[in-house]
Amino acid sequence: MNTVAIIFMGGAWLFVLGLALWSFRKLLATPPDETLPPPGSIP
Amino acid sequence: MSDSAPAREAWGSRIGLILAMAGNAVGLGNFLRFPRQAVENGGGTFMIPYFIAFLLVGIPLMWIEWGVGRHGGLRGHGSMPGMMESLWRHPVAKYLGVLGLFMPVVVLIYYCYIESWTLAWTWASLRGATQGLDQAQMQGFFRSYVDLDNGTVHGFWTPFAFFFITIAVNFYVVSKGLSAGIERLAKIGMPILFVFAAILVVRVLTLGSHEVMVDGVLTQVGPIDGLNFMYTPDWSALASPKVWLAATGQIFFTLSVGMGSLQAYASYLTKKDDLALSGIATAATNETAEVVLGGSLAIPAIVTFFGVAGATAIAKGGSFDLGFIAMPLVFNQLPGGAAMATVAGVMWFGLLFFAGITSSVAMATPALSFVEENFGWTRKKTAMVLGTFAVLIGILHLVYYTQGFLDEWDYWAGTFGLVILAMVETIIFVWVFGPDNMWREIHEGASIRIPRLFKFVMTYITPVFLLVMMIWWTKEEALPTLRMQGIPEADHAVRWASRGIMLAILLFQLWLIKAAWRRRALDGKEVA
Repeated sequence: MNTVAIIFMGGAWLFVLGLALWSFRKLLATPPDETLPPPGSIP
Repeated sequence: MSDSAPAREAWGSRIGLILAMAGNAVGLGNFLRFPRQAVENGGGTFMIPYFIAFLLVGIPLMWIEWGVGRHGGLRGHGSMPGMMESLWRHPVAKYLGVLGLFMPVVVLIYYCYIESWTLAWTWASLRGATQGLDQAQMQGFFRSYVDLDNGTVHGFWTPFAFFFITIAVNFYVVSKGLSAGIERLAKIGMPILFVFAAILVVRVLTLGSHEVMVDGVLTQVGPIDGLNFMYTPDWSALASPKVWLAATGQIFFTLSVGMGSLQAYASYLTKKDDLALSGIATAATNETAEVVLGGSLAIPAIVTFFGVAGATAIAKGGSFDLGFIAMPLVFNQLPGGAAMATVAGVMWFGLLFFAGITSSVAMATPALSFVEENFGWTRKKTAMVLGTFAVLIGILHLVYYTQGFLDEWDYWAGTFGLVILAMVETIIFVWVFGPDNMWREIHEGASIRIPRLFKFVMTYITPVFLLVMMIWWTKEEALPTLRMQGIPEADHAVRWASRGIMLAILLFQLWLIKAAWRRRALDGKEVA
């Protein structure tokens, strides 16, 4: 496999897996009923 | 929120909601369409416009559709006509919402037909019907299924039987309701889909090299050559508008935006529910299924046994050739003989079936909600009537498939129509409802704060992107398609009839909206 192809594949995998891991970690860390205050309410 | 809004069903759990939303997005296109698009549009370089479209159109539309859905749902609307009117108090708004009824119903009918193929091929794999077939015989096996005049291999009634079973299963699931039907299916179907796909990816990537004839010379080719073929960049592709359009189109299809089904699912969210983070999680789950799993299956497997030239020729034949002809041929050559071919076949077509059904039940939801909420029908009765309608109209797809009946629906509703609905809802939610209101709606109950840059993107970039795309598609594809350029004269009558039936469905739905609002007026109900 050539280097550029590896970079493209690695980049694509890293992006989607990173996004999935980040979002699910965040989801699991946030209780469903815990919400942020409405935008603009924090100075 | 209107106090008079009737109590509606709710999602049983957050994970159930995300799995159902992801199930809606993960479909046949993730495993069949994506690898073909990547190979045909620049390989590795395809990923650049693909991810740019994901960030500028895909994710913003995800938030817009979740926002539109919840805003409408809180006011008692589970489908687009009511959602549109709750955003824009104008007599025309509800009629624009017809797109969110028309698209899912039309796509649902032909999608169920294709979904029924996956069921038929799972059964064929189980009983070893595709084992021992060479390429010509496998093509014959496929053609005989879709061409009823040539139904020598399968028998005339077999495609009908699988189509009826598929419709029955779909409408049985939706008749059970949100939590007991759709959410339960997603909780069972999505893990099975991911496990089957992961096992197949591991098997494909550990295949080792095989001797394939390349330019008259026997050459060792393996799955890594397939990945190399798929990701080697063609830099000239970046300058081609066609490639950018293909990438944006793929993002549209894969995330199931512009359809009306995401909005229908989001209408069951409450004010306290998060949609900002859940929207990203749903999109990320879909992208993982597409890029990591879908991109590592068909192309590497086919290149291993047919070489790059063979894979290119198969990919040019279309996504169905890839999935229903080439993959069973690959399974026949796997080490492990008949048993391995059976297991791999059942897993491949099984995962496609689950990918399909978790999407098709979502497509049924807007129309069901519309009839239930506006005409007071029970869910079971609505499912029964819509299911019967889908069977009756769907039969036309079976009979006239080879003459392009399905292609017309796939283009006008399943491709071009999606961009129109996305465009209309973006303009109404962002510009008419107002960027500040839109931003506040999306952040209601949010678990994360979306970077402010996205407010600018959603207000200006996404609509412009959609507009450019629509103009380009109209010029390059819609007008030639409308004029039936390159279509054999003999198929014109069937294709015109196909368009006529679509138009009749659209007009009938417009009439239903008018009737529903007249009923509301008589009942003294006002749109909240």
